[in-house]
Amino acid sequence: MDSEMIFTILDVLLALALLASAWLALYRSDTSRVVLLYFAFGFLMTLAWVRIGAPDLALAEAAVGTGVTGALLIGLLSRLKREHAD
Amino acid sequence: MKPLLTRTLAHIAALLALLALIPGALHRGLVEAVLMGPQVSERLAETGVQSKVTAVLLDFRALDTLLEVTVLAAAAVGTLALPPPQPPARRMPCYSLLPSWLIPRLAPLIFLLVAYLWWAGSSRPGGAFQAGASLTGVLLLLYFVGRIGTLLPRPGTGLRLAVAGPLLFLAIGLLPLATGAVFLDHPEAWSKALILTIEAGLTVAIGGALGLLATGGGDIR
Repeated sequence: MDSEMIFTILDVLLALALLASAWLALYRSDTSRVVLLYFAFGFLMTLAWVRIGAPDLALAEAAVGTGVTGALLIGLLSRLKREHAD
Repeated sequence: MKPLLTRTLAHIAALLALLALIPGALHRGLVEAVLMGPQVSERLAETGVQSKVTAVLLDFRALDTLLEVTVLAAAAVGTLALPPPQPPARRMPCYSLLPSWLIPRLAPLIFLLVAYLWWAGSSRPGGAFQAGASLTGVLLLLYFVGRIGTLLPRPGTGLRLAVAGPLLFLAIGLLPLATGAVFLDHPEAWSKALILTIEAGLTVAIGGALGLLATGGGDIR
């Protein structure tokens, strides 16, 4: 098996994992898992941008899309839990 | 419209958007041809930077970027209308000792990454948006593990930074008018230095604005 073919297989797996994580992040009901799945989705999306040959978008996805948005979601999660506990 | 129908339509739209990406993924050359027209390559030398993306963002389409960061500054100003975050946010629940050990040791590297992303923007992927977001990210991490008491040193810092960045951009954009050139048309000899100055201002502005938005207005304490 040549490297070209291995990369194609990895790309297909990446696309499937991207779809799966997006689906789960949208339709699971437990919020903590959903936030973690969102992180997984962001990481996979970053890899996808790299594979498509758009490193600028990959950086933006990692920093803004996953980093800051993810931090926001975690802050929201802790606030929800605190208010739930009160 | 019924929720089921709305949802199904959203799924179909998402699927179509995904399908539209496939040709791009298969033919990298196609993406290059569509996104980075030969015009950009032809006139890249005029901008003083080697990165096509930065050349477009800070030179050819500088007006769009200026408006974009102005919108971000406006959003930061908008947080003034929000009630101060209450009850005072507390530390993240710590399930493991590893983050509180690892994050303070990684933080200097992330600050270095912020500086690198700012500098790299002139010649390769990088730039103010990525650097600014990373800056917010490292501050949030340090806050979460309790190494810094507040995200920003003083109340209002985030807001000042968020507004100062676009103002600096605007001031540098107005300079060429004095020499008879067009708004935002940096003189070629100074182009790279001016772009790096603008990007530095925008890095802290974006860092401040995102930090402010992450805290929901005001500074978390």
